[in-house]
Amino acid sequence: MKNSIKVERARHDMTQERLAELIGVSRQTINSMEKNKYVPSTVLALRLSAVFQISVNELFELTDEDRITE
Amino acid sequence: MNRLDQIEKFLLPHGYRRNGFMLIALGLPVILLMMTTLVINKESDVVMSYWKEWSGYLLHIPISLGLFWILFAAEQQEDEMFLSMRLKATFHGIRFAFIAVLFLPVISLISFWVFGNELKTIDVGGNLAVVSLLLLYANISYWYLKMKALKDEE
Repeated sequence: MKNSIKVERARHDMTQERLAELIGVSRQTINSMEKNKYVPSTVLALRLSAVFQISVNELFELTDEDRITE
Repeated sequence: MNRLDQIEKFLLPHGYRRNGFMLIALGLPVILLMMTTLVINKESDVVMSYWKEWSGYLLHIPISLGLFWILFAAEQQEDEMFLSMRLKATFHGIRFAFIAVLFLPVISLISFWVFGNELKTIDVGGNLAVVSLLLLYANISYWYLKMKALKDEE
């Protein structure tokens, strides 16, 4: 799973601390999500999309590994 | 929401982490004192019988309770990532304890074949010892995962 949290955060001129505050998590969690080390829950993904005012689909993207192949 | 669903929200207040470390710190001198007494009074049946009866409790209660408090004390800013890490760490702990208990008889066999020692069933030390082992490895895994997350920040 890829995400554009870092890009959106920069676009909104927001620090990791501020974003963490807004969505109610720790700064380490923001950092882990930005580095694709942690995939957030649906609730958190929706909170992020609300903060950045974009859809979850625009914020998160499946990689080839995540896709189901037949 | 039933009780089973709520269990994921079960965490102790953050202060329990410090209490856990203190409990282990208090427990270790007791164990050391007990071991020293045993070495000094090798021949004493009184000490040996006391040790056999109470060693499990003296050894494992402070350790397992302390480890439990450390593992299940909430972070200063607890969130779903730490819950997920704790879950992973607990799985690692279960796996390690399971493997350790399964392979203890193998150690006895190896000791029998290699060193010619008496073949006997190795007792892991009772239920508390398995719990201590599980919690110890779960704690190690949790702190490893946490440190890894911190290191990735640099």
